[in-house]
Amino acid sequence: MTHSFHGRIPSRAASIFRASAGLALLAALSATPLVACVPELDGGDDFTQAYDSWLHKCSACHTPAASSAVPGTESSLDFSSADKARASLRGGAKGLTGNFAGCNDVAFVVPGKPEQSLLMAAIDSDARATFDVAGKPGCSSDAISDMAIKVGGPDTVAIAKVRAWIAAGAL
Amino acid sequence: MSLGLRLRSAIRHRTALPLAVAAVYSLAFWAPSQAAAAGPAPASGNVGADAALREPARWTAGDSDQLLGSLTPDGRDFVYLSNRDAVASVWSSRVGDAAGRALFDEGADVSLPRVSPDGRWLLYLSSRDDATGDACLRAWPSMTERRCLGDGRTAESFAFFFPDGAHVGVVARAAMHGEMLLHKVPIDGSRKVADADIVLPRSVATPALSPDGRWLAYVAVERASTTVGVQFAMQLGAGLHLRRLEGKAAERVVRFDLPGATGFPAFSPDGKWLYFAQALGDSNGDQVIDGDDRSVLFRVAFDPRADPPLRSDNAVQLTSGATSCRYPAPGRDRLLFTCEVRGRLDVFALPLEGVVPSTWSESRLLLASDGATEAGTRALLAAHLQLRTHDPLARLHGWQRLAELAVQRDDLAAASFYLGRSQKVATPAGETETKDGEATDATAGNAAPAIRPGTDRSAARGVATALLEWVGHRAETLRLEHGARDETYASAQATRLKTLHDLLGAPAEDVTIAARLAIAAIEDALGREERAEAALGAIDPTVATSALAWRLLASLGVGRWLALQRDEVALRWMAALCDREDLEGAAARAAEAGADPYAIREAERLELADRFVQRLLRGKGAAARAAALAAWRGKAEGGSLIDGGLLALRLEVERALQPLAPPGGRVAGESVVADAALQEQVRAALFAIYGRERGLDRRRALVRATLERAAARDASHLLYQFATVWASFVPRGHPERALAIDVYRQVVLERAYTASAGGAFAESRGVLLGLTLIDDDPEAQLGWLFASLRERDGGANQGEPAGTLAAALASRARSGPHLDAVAAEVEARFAKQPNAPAAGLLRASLALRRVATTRDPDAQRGHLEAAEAALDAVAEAGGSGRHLHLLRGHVAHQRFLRGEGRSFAVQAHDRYRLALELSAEDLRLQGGIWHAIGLLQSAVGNHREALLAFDQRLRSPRADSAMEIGLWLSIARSRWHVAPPAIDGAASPHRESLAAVAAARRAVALCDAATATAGGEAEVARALLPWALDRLALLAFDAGLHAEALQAASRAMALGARGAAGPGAGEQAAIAEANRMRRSLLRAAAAVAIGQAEVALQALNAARASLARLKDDDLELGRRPSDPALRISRDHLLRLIDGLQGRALLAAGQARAALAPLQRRIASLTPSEDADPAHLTLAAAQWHLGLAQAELGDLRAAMQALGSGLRACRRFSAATGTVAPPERVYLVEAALALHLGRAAALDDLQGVLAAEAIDNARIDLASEAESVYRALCAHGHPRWAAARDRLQMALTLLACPRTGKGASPQ
Repeated sequence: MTHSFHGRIPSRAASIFRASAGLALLAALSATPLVACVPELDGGDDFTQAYDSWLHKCSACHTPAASSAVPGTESSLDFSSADKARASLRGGAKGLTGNFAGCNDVAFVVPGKPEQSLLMAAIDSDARATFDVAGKPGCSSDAISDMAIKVGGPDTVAIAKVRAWIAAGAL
Repeated sequence: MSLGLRLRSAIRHRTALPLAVAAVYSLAFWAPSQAAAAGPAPASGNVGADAALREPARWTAGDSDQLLGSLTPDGRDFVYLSNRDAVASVWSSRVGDAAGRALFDEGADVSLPRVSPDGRWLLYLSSRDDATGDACLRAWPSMTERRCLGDGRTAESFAFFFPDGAHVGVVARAAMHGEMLLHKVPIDGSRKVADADIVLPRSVATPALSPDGRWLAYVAVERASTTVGVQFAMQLGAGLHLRRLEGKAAERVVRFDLPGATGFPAFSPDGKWLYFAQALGDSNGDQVIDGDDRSVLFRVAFDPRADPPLRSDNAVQLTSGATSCRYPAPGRDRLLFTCEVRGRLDVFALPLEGVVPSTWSESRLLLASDGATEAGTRALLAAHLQLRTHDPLARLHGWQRLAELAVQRDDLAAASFYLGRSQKVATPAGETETKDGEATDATAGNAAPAIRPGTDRSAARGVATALLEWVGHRAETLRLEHGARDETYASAQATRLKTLHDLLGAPAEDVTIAARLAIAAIEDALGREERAEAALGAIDPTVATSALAWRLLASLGVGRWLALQRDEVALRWMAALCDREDLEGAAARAAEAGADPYAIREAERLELADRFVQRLLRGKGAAARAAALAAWRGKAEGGSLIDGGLLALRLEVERALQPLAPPGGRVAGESVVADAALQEQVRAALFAIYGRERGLDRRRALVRATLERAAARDASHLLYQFATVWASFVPRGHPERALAIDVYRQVVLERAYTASAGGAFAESRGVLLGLTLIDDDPEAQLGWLFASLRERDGGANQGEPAGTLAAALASRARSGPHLDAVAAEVEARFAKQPNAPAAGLLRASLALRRVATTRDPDAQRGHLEAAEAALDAVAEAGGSGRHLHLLRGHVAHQRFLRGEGRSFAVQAHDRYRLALELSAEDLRLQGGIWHAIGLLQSAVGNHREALLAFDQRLRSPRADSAMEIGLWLSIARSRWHVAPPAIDGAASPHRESLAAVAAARRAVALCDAATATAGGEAEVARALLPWALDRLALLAFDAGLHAEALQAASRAMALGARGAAGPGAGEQAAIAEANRMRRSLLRAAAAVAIGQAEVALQALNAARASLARLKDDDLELGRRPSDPALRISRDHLLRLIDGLQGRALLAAGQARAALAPLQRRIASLTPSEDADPAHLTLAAAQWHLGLAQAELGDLRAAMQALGSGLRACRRFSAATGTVAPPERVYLVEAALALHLGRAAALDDLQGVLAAEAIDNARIDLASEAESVYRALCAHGHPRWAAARDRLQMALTLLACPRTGKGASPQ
């Protein structure tokens, strides 16, 4: 499976700034230990790197008409490419059923706020444990599946990348 | 049985699980269904190798025993003993490959194989030249240069290598009643055993030498009799002897701080560890604890420089007591050992440190214990915990915990030992407990440590005293024969009761509790139930002041009430024990403070609450269950139960689950349907509870109950919902996480299989694809491959009938382009890991499927070689397991089918059986393997064996339609083969013939049902339907069901009419034409049999036309090289058509037209008349010819034909001893009709002509009639009654003299 990079390529300085800012924000907002550095993967911004290394597996279920999807799989996400994933993450969850229905309409990504981003809670157990969205008491940690059980992992580097990306504004 | 199959089967088989799964079961309420045959591996790719208890990896498999395994020095292979070939012989296997090979044929039993450290020799014991045993050597690996170290003067019983590489240690006795002494024997044979140096001047068993050659460990052997030798009456000494071979250091006798007896010592290659087996109790009831009892493996650190070189109190338990294991053989990085599983011995492997990772902390051990449900595993974890415990109070509790677990398991020797230890720890410093007058010294930390202030030491001693009385009582009771009670027994119990009653005055409540429990047990055993109840009734379950007492009440106390059939009291006790306010607070405090690890844990109370609910609702219908739960809800609401307590929680969960089946199964008459709405209702109620309860133990209890119930009701929605939340909740690093993920995986796999079975291959493929993202589990990978190909099958079938049945069954075989597409997907997925075992398995599977895409033998061979190469790569990469064996079996199977020799059939069978052995918990894979075994057996011609295999296959879950249809067709074929040839024709077909027809009908019905659906299943069924109808027609015809045969053949003909052939249309067209010809012939034969002459004639015309369009080579298309069926030529077919045409024309009243084809038919049969059946065929043809001639009025020719027919019958009778085959009856009757009819109707001239005709035909009509008549009388079958009567009349007429011209015989 090949992954081509799409979208804007930030300048190296900008990416470092964003990473730094993201890390500082993370330090300010999170009680978890600060990650000393986020290792570079392949080219592209944090999200693209995280997608290439790990998140692309999500496409097995989170793609329109994905055959791996079961009834109740979130229906609005499209992880068929990094760009489509990025775009679809701007919305909120749809189509969740059963124990997970409480998270419908909860935003996948809240720019600058990883701890309030459903995506983060789905891939990181620490974020999931403390996930709390105002006005959505039904979307607790119990109502969020751990994506690692479905695609393997967790990939801690990719998780850090996603956190950094969200903290930096999720562009 | 669909969804929930794997989970329910796993639960159902819990008590019969092999160690590989039992150890995992012990961790949680679930366990993965696979039995790993590779080296130790994490249960899931999501967690590290040390996340959960390890599973012993099974390294051998088979119907026989495999034992005494040991690694070769390079670690790539292992040698072992196997009795697979009836004689015990030495086998070798590559590590990871359970399929081994016998190394040599000794011609007699051998034992104890092991390879020398320098890799030059194989040492073993042989009984070839000396039935008492010879230590022999063979060069490794060539197995040549056989020579033995004994010369008949000694009887060798054990042998091992000295580390110097030049000597062998041999235990041998020089005389029948001599001692079993250890000798040091030179390998070069310069001295035989009898002349070699004696290392130790006393009898020993299974000695082991440290790698530096300095220390010898052994079990002493004592004579049990003075009149016979130690070999015939031995008893093993207590403890393990350690002897330094150099210097004058005293020999030490080590008694490990373990119950039971020690044996089979073995040093690790680095000399730092001593491994041994410990028989923990008298499991076989022979009142001796020795190597014949169930044993567990241990190891202890060994320091050769120290004195003593080891400690007796820090032996580490390596295996769970759930399975008996012994013969440890540590290698450089793995420990091999032998375990008994399901009555057979096999070689297993573990990391050197055993089942429990050495990195586990005390808290991790406790967490694992919380989830453990198997008593042996709990004891294992408790033993590890005890090793890490140094606090005196905690050690006391540890001994008590071990004692209580032993009591639960009814392991009396262990219970007695641990109770003794607890007494010792509870004893003030300076005092020592004595046992049998012998001071028990030798444990490290010999001085009994002081108990912390506040602890009543005497309580611990008193409890131990009471329980020791109970243990003694149990031991005495078990020793009795069933139902026997004698005065000695009664007297002994009376003594125990007195001791126990004396304890009732103790101030500590726990002592009186233990004493009363023991009193109740003894009184019950003596039949005094009232006294037993009185003893129990005096106990208040709410005042147990120690964890031990609580646990005893929960196990022994509740169990005793149940045994006394006082369920209501048992329920009150369970509720009271579970619902204790002090435990609610105490448990929480203990958890927060990390205090006493032996405090009552929430998981235990939840388990008790679960038992409570099970008992409360057992055997009740829906209304009664609701009432019982309502009664207890009333208690909860009324404040009788702790608000938010564990019992209230469990009751609440049970109420939410009530719309599903009750625990323990349905009550008769209750609905089994768990529809979506019902599931959603239950889910919502349970999730509300789940969200409220935050603790892991409480959530586990809820999820456990939910998943068990959902699995029983095929409630897929519930299963998926709660398997997902549970796996998402269990923290990473927790011992249960790996198992939670495996439960999730099983739920998803079940979903995939259900989809496949219903023909929804796209869904199945997608679901399996998701699983392949997690790890390289072969089941998911191969399942994805299968679903991918089946998904594509529907598109490939464009209405063209499959050329052959084999191609139709392997419909993916016609999907060459689809194989390419899937192959490309495989390569893309494994681009970064091209050598991954999963990739190799997929490549091999694809290569196997390509075999059926071509008829070119070279191309087929190439695909098989590619498959083998891929599987070799899998093995090389460390892959192993049942899928590897199964695919290897398929390769060998294909080789056999392609005529490469019957040895491949043997190989295939061996591999299939191995895969079967390794698939003990995987019912679906078992089904597939049985199917393959059945096909193999039928291909070899062992149809009865094939039917047994198919029967096993039928017990497995339904696969997809194509597999089911193929299965029934195979069953039909084998049933036909085992049916004896019909003697009496259609009147009484053999039951096996009818069974064959029934199986074929089943296949047709499955086709019809599947074609009514949509999607790929329908397409495949349409391709298979003509073949199923073909088989049905053929089998029905053979069974005499001609009308059904005609109907089926006609329907097959109509279906197969698509895809018309024509010149240059290719091989497929030729096959289709040949199929049409065969079907036409069958239609014709069936039509003739039921008198539909016109239909027959039309069919025969069609058959001739098809035959005319076929080339000679086309007639052999579709036949496998290994197919033993007869070759049929064009001429053969033409004459067959002639025969049928003659009969049809005759039936149609066209006798003259019938002559020519009948004569051609007869002419074709004559050269082959030495074949028995051909005689009858010829006779029948002559009969028809005779009838035709008679119809035309040619009496002479008719009689000639009938006479020839009768001569053919005589040849048959002479060859087979059958006096009156049906053809002879018909011929005689025809001849009689002609003779009597004409002679009666005609004048003398005609009568003379008739007589002359008979003479010319050389028919002794009277004799023939007489002979046939007698045969029919003897036969007695009702079918021949009419013929018998006619013959009787005819004989009478023949006997009457003629009275004159035209007169009838009188």
